[in-house]
Amino acid sequence: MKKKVYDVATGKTEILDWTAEEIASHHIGYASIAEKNTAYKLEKIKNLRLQKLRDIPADYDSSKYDELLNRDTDGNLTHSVWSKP
Amino acid sequence: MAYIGKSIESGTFAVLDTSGNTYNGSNTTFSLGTQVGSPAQLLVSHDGVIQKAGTDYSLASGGTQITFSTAPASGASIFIVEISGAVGGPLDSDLNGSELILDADGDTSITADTDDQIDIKVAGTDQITIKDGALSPVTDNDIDLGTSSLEFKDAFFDGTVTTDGLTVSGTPSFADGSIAIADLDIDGGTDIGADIADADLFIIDDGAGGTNRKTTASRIKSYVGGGGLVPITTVAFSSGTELVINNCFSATYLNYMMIISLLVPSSDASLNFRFNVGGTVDSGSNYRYTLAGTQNSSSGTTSQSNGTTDEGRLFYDIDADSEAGASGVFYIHNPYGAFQRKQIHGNTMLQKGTASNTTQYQVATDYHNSTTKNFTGINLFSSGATNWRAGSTSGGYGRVSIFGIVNS
Repeated sequence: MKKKVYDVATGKTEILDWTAEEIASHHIGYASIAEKNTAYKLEKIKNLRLQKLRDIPADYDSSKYDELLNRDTDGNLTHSVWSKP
Repeated sequence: MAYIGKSIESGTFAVLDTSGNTYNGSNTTFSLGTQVGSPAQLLVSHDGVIQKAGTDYSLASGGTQITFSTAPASGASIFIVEISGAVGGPLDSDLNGSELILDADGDTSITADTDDQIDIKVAGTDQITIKDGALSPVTDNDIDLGTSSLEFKDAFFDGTVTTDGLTVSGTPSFADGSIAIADLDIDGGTDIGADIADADLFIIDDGAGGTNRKTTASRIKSYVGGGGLVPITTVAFSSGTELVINNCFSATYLNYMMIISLLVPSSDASLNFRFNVGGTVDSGSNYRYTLAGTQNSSSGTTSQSNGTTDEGRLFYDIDADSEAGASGVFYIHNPYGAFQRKQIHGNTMLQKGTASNTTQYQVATDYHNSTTKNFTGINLFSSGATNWRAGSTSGGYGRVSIFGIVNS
């Protein structure tokens, strides 16, 4: 994970790696960035559920999130739960 | 012998006394015993043969000596008669085209052998010709008028003065309106080398009446309203996770505009932000955000922070399609100023999910801390450490532009 740092005052640009402290600052409240990503996926699934007025089966835990968010090459969601009844 | 008729009234007409001259076949120059202005003023007899002025003899030593082209032989019989024209004496004669020789060696003269034309010769070369209506040099680009130390005084011309160059050491004066704007060449000028300041001057045609006046930049600023956007920086995203822009906020401006153009993540992601002070990011739980969107399918989409969190949000769920991209305009209120609350709001558009999708969001995100912060920079990063596609400042994609907003 890299960051580009540009200083307007000096015109200097640096490409730096995130320090461990910076990595930690990007998953505050979560055990890891992966766990934070899981929460982000859940947010997207909740949005889709509201848009498409679908219920998600209660037994769909985080292991199913990628499957629920999978899209085909045209960008369409592929999971059957999003299909019209 | 006495004169028949009226005698000469001025000048000299006499046989010169050359008795002191010795002719030996080698000497060519001899004293005249007087001074004459021109060889033609002499009648020279050499062994009974009249000599031709300028050919057989000439003057030397300022007209006090005669120089023969061929040295007179020993015992030669020579007499010289000065005829009229004493040096400096008046010339009362019709030359009828004859050359009037002026100097001692006979190479400087005035002549009018061409009708209605006067030629002035100096040092054997015609220099100036005077004709009816024209005073001209004989040779183009050859004669100076005055010198750097011997200048004419005033000059007056009623017509057009044409010159290859003009150096004015004093202050020129032109009639109002006599210099056309097309004649001003500013290409070779020196750039001001700095931003235009209030005191800088411009030329303005007062009332479009042809009277030029000066005006300060501050007057122009007042006329156009004063407010505006001042570019601070444009930076492209790299292929990394985060773009940090330091020292883009200061006390100079209260509010800022930020334009993010055609930003694409390597996988679907949101763009979040944090403020920083001197590069030290504020990751405290001081941010909130709400993004309310509508897709072109009419379905709604939202993203909220549900209370305070450690990062604000500018874009939600940008599609990774390389042909897509997210763009938005944001107003940043008072990031540096002495207020506890900093606010960003704006409008974004992006592709979500499919290429046929266009989604717009109204974005409102703020920072609130009981301790006042003077933020000087902003960190823009993806949710979940997703990389961005590298952008280009010149290509206009994957870049951020920040402007300071001038109120007046």
